[in-house]
Amino acid sequence: MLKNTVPINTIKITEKAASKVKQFANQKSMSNFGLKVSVKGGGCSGLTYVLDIVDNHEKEDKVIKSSGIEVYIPKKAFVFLAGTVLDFSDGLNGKGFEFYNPNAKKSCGCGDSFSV
Amino acid sequence: MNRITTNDILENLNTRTLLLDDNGRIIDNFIIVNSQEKFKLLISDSSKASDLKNQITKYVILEDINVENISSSYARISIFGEGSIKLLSEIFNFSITQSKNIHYKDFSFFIFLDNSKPLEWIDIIIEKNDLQYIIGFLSSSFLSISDFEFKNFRFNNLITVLDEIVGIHPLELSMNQLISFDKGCYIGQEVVARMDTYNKIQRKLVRITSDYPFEEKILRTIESNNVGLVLSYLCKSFDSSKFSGIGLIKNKEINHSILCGDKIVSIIH
Repeated sequence: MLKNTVPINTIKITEKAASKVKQFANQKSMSNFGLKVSVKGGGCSGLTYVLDIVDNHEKEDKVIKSSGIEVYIPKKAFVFLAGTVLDFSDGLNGKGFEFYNPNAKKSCGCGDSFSV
Repeated sequence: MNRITTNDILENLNTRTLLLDDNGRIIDNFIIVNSQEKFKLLISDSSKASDLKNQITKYVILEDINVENISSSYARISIFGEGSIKLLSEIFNFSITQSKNIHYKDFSFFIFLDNSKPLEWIDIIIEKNDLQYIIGFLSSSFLSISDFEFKNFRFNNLITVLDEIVGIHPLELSMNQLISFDKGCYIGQEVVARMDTYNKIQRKLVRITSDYPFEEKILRTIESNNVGLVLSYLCKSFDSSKFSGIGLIKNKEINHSILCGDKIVSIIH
């Protein structure tokens, strides 16, 4: 299980997820990039994860290095994401990027949204 | 608002929509006035507009959005009944066919045509300073009614108010018109979709009467099984000597004997 394996002052990207992020960055021909991980209101459970590949971080972002890529997290979103592991599940039945968020009391069926 | 509420929130279209919790239960029922301005006016049915403000603020994380409670400056007048729209159009001397801002003489107000109600229903939102003038203006054509009469009218037409239905699933209240079933995710959508797809709507809104006051909120069978709730009631119905109310009752129990406390309750079909 990936749950509860990460200190709560950081988040972790698994090697598999990092490899997929690098693949997407390559497709966009981005050599310098980071993964922006954020949260917005909405989705079945109230809060939705947002992933974006960006070329730089905002001044207010928390910057973390994990599995060889930089992860940028807006400080207001970090309170909802602290301790999260981002994994990638592929294959025909895979769900794509998956979040294991210790702050989530409940998640929707597809895993895109959560409540705290 | 489109991400968190049940209905399609389209630009330049004024919409009534629901805010649900993540279990698909009603938190608020409100109108969004979608003007081209940078601000949106939300008109809550809640007696405490601050609750809606707090709920929306909870979901504002990174967006540059400020939510303000301006209810102390505005008032709502509800006009309803057959022919209301025609009569109001005649009074203002223009055809009222859609919700919009109106400038009339020296006054500005917003008119919302509420299609979610089972009869013609218009809400006028106006600054409190202008309220007495508009009431005086309308009172020659429309009859104002007491709280008692309004409740009786609501019960006869199975119209609920928000304070009665907080925590209830909207499909149990037949609020399908306030829900978009193809818009994608919003808070509570997973539960609403499941209830709709698998026909899990187990309760129905009904008018109830009794020869005695509804002293308990829970409705039971003779075998003491819980079958529903009294949402609201009147001491005496306007047109009979019975106590009247609206309840939410399990579909399968609707034709059975139902009690409130130890008193028999009749369901009006």
